[in-house]
Amino acid sequence: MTATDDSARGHRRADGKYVIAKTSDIAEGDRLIVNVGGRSVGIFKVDGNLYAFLNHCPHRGGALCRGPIVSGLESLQPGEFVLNKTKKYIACPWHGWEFDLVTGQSWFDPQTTRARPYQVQVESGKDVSAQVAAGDALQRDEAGAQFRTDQVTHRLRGPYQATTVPLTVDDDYIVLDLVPRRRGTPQAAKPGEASAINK
Amino acid sequence: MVTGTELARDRRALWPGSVIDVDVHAVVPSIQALYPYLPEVWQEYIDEREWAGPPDTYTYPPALGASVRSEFRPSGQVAASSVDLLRRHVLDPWNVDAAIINCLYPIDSGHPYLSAAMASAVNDWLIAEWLEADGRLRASIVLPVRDPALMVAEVERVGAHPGFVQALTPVRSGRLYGNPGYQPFLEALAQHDLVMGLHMGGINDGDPPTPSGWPSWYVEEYAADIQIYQAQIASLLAHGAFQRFDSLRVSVLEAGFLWVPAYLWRLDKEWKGLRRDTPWLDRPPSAIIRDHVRFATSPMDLGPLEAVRTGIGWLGSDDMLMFSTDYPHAHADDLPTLLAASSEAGRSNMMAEAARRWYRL
Repeated sequence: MTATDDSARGHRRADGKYVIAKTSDIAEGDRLIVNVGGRSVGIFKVDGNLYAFLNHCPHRGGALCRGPIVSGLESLQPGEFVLNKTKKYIACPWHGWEFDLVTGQSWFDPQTTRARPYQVQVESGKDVSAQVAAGDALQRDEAGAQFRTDQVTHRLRGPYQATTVPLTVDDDYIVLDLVPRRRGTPQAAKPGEASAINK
Repeated sequence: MVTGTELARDRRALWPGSVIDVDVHAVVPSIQALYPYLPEVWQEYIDEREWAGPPDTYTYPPALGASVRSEFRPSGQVAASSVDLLRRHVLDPWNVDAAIINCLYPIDSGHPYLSAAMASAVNDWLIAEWLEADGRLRASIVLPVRDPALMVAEVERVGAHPGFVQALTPVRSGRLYGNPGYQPFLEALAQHDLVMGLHMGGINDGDPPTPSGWPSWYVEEYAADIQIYQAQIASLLAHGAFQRFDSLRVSVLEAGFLWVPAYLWRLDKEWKGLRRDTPWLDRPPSAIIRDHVRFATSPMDLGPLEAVRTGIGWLGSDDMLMFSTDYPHAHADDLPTLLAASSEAGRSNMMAEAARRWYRL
């Protein structure tokens, strides 16, 4: 699934976290931009790992999550280009500023500029299904209303209509924690969790 | 208006400390003055053709006061053409510790071998008639800049002479100096610990001094040259010349300096977004340039004192300017304003100490 109009909304659970989508909804290398709690957030799947960013570049407020994901590019001496595919950055579409996909760290001005990373959790479909059944996963109307009234794409509707989504208990869901993480802590899913999405 | 000689007369009141002048010009009075230093084959070649030597650009006005101050025009002699004139006009009245000669004689005729021979002749003329005549003098090596191999050969030939502290690279070159073809030249500079001196002037044949064609008058041409300096600085920076040669130092001569802060801001801004183009640039361009580039103070394009103070502050360093009279041009009249606008450390650095460190004097 690729969606970049942030018309999709997360489902807010009783614990305050948002159920976003199934992990399988985002193809490798793709992204999903959702509007949760009134905030636009991008979720990326890169090399099997999930990352979430506030869709707001700390430089000048550009839609950061619409920018390209680029590999690390290093140089030992002038004229030498070393592509480091183990490091990934998101580059803002406005001015090209790069932010480390794992830490949100800006490359060139690490003291002052950091993109806002969000915690991504992968939870089992069985748990989420139970929460939905119990009414713990509720759709938040007020935040996403402006988008829902005029544009809700059919591709985005499915996972967020909690009461109507046909859930398979073995599917895994992406849950977003909108509380900003402390600086310096990675926001990628833990390795064990991340591996689950490749099932 | 205060003139250059009046400034020099008040030199002690103006600035009681040391003075090093990083840009004075020595003028080759005629092509025949180079004959003692030119192989006979080229003497005959020139005589056969009654060639007067390479011409200046058609816009250059040698008779204007800005080009040569009236008090610097000796009767019966070409201005700035002898060490005696330089002593009388600059070295003695300014009581300099040192002055660096940049000879702008246009050696480049388009004939690659004659050009190289002419460059060598000018350098030998500088050694014999200037450097060895006054211990306060240093000079820039004149080079045939069309051919990096010939440039390297000339640097190797005279680079070890203690009088040469710099290699003159005319700012208008056929290719920007950061291009890989010039790497052997930059390496030769590093090996001889020579400064690269970017100076107004250069090759013009067919290539106009602006990328949009020929200016009509000198006022356009001279002011527009700032863009070429900017392109050369950016070229050296982007190609990683300062990473490759950590000791490489570039003096920007006769370009002014108040345009520099805004240019550094622009370079820093674009680098942030275009970092991936040149991943070897591991810190902001402004920081690299502050370490590797210095600017001669003439021509001084100054405004009101407070504005100048602000502009100098924007340089972000009190160690980027080096005093130059730009003799025999009339380009240093605003020195009192520049001194008043500078910090105490800035004044000392600008008048002598920055150049003393830069040129290992």
